[in-house]
Amino acid sequence: MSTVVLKGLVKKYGQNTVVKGIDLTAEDGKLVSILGPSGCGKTTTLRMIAGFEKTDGGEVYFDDKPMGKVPVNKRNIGMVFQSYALFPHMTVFDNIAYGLCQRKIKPDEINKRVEEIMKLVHMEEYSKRKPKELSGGQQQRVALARALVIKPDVLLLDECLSALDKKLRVEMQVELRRILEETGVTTFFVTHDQEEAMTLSDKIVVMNNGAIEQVGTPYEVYEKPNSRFVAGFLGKANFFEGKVTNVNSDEKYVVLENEKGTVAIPAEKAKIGENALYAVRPEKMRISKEPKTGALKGTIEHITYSGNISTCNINCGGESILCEVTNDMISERPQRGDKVFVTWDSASSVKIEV
Amino acid sequence: MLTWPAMAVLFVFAIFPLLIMFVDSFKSDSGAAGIVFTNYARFFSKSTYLKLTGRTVFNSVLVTVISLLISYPLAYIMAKKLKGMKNIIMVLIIIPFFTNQLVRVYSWLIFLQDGGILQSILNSVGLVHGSLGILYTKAAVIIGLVHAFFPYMVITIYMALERMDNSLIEASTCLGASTFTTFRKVIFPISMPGVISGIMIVFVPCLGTFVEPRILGGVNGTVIGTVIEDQFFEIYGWNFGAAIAFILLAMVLLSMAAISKWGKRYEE
Repeated sequence: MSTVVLKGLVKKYGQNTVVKGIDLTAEDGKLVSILGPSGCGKTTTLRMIAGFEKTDGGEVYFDDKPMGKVPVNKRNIGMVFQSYALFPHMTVFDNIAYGLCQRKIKPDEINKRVEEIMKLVHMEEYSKRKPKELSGGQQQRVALARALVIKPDVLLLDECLSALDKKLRVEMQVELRRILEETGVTTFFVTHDQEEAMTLSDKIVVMNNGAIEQVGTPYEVYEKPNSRFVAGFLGKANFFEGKVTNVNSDEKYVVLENEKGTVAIPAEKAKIGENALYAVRPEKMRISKEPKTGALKGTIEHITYSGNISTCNINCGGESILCEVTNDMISERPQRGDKVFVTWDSASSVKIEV
Repeated sequence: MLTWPAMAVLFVFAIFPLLIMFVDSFKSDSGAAGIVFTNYARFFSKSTYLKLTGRTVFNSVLVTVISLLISYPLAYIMAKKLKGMKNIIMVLIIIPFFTNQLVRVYSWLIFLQDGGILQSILNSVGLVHGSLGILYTKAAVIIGLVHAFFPYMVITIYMALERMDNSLIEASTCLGASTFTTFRKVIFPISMPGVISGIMIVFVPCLGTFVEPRILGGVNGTVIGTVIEDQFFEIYGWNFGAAIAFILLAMVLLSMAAISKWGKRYEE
């Protein structure tokens, strides 16, 4: 187990710089998710930590030890691949024992450790099976056991849950969390699924275009996004942008003027004359049929019912607002065409520096 | 129902002629009536024919082993190391495959013969003085056969390696295995089905060849295939020839069965 530090990591493919100087620290025993759209450089970053890709600048440190000259097979890393990469010609037992065999460990000790880890991932009954005789979730567990049994300094997970179906994925997320807490290994987890990143991580790193957009706890990156990209990539967001023409700090609303007209939204901390961008999460909004002070008036143009919530597209004088309401009152479900008033707590308007 | 036309074609053009040959193999060359086993008995009672069988099998094994030693590294480099050059090399390998057999064999004849191209190259470099004496030897036969058959092996091994997920190699490496261990424990075993099909596709037809042994081997190139050809076209011992042909067919079927049984162990 180690603290992993990345300092100014750069990767170029020809003229193309795919990773543009990344600084990042994963403290001992923590789970750090690298989240971003495909092509953002997250997998390349992971592969540089593993040593599969040479760095074109910067350095990876495991507990202050520079890794640049250490080949992959001497780095003591555990990796779970997107395809699991289980050896098809070996049994579950042999797959898991593979890393230990390379370390010249006595057969008794190997048996003991493999059995321990198979218990941890609940696969002890399958030791004689071949990978193709296992389900996706079971293959996943074997791949994880194989990576963990060598007691790696760092565990790297490359989109390893994305091949599972939704229900199994959620189950595996809980399992993964339990297993990683028991082993206490420093983990990097690459994913494009924001929900997965939020459930699993101690720290989320949002990447875009080869650079880090924001680093923080799941709460921080979701509630206090520092860019339009982060706000839009993690969950949904409504954006209000324009020149501040009026600020009412008693009733806590701000008037913005843009090419579509003027709009007053519940918000704080603005100066008259500046250009401001606010992001508001759809679930923070409330709708009602009675007029309220500081509320936006609009018409429901479209409504998507999804069981626990309904998502409404509301046209508020040119601004299209996405609003999620819980379906707690069956009798008062909003309908398409309803004239409604949209409001929210002024603290829910997150001001993004532009 | 739909397979009937295909079955009919197969029967008329493949099975029926074979049946005639099979019946012929039990007839006496001297024209005596009735079923006789003398043709088969003659083959198994003479040490010459048994020695020839041994030589044929030995040649085929040698050609298979040499082809494997050439093909595996070539297929490996093409599948795992090269990106752009891959197609050009593939074309170069496949050319002998599309070349007329006689053209290919006579090219080797011209290349290997005393006073030929190889000799003048080796003489000018100073490696060999005077004549080579390689043509009309077993070595010349082996060279010709390897050249004829190794492309099949390259292709089957290449396909097995190409299909293989590269993350298997990476998984092995990050678990601590050296390049050599990764090859021995992961890459080679996983490519085994390709290696075994390659062995089958080289060894089996090699048992029955007669063109390369005849032209490049001369008197030293006699194998079962050339004996059968002689029986049919020189000696007109069709019935004996048919019997040898069926013995060869039995060898072919036996070795195919053995190789595919071996291959079953590596099936995923």
